[in-house]
Amino acid sequence: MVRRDSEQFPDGDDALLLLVQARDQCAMAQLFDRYGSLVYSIAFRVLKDSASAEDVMQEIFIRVWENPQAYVSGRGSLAAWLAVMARNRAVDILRRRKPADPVEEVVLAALGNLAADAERNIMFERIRGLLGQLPNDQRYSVELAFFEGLTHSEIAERTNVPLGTVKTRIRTALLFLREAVQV
Amino acid sequence: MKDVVHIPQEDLALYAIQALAPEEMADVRQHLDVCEMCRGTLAQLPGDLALVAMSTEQLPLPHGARERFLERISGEVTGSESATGVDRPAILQMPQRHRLSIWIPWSAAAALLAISAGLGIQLHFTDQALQQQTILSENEAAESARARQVLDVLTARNAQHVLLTASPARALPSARAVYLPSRGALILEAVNLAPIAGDKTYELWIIPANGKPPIPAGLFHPDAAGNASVVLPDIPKNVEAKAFGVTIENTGGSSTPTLPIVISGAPTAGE
Repeated sequence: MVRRDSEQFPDGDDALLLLVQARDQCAMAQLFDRYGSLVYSIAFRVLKDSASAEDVMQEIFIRVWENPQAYVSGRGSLAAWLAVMARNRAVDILRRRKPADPVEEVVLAALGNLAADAERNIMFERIRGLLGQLPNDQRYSVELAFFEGLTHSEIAERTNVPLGTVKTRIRTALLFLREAVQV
Repeated sequence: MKDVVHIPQEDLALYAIQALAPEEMADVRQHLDVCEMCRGTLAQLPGDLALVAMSTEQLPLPHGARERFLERISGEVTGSESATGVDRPAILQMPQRHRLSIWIPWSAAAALLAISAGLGIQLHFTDQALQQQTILSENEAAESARARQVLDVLTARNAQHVLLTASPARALPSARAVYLPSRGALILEAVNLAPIAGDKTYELWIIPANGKPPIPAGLFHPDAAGNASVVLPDIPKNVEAKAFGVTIENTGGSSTPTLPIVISGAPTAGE
């Protein structure tokens, strides 16, 4: 019997992914509903183009559909994993480069259960608020690195500050975010 | 003993958000392959990338994006382009020119593969459609069987037909009063009154037309059948009545009526 009602699906991402592994299209649609906007928004922020951002989004969810086992739940939340995949893929396209390192190497976000809409929105809002608390120069450096895919030396050139300063700004900003989220 | 130079934390943080130059990224990756300590340090960077990524303002999906995605997975897309994305960015794929002769056998093979894939997809769709048809047929068969059962019961010769109606409702209490103001004479006959507790009593009231407070016009208790009467109570003469009412009061009666009014009525004719 084909299920249509989203309430019939488990709340947790892990359980949903198990259904996806069993080739349950409705479960995959549910997963898309949960995180489609997140993935698209990140890709759009990097690429600033709706069609390209949708390409990235489609590619990422197709990848999940074809290989749901690629996500290892013990290493972080699914939302974080998808978010990083979206960013990396978009930056790869922006910089016309080959796909970068596997996301698993660098993602270890323990952000709680973000499967529920409410919790997800609260967490995103909180992170936005934290980013807004950063000094402008730190936030700008992080955004240049993250959303424009610039290297630290390119950022140093663009902002006309020493390389060491760029490194320190980025590291300080990331440290602040990390500690603030863990509180 | 050989000294090992580890990657500074700052650089690991930059590596984590891919902000190192490509050659530096390669150096770090090479070092990480052999250095458990730096791998451990990197692993402690808890999702910096994810944190920054999730600071992005959420946008609505483009119109039809969901449908496009669902179409792709329902077609079991296994494409080698964006779906895998391992070898090269799908969006950047550029056609390359080669000598035709080289491509003839490959083209033939590709055509065969495409046909096979097409047949496979068609088979998949057919299989899905067949499953759906099977489910529909089963549902229809079940509904049909139930309908037949209903019809059998309705038309059976030996079925008992019973008419059920609501139980007779208890008759509502009512009373008839005859009032002659000029003589101060009043007679009340009440029927179907509900029994009341021993410390309670029914009390009749005249509600004057001049707006003055209600005038008590006698206490009474119904019998077992709910009948009761008040005959010529001691009431003032020449009181034009706007209405009559009956309330339940404590034994001995009350100087003012206690709501609710059990029954009431207004005079329709007479003086």
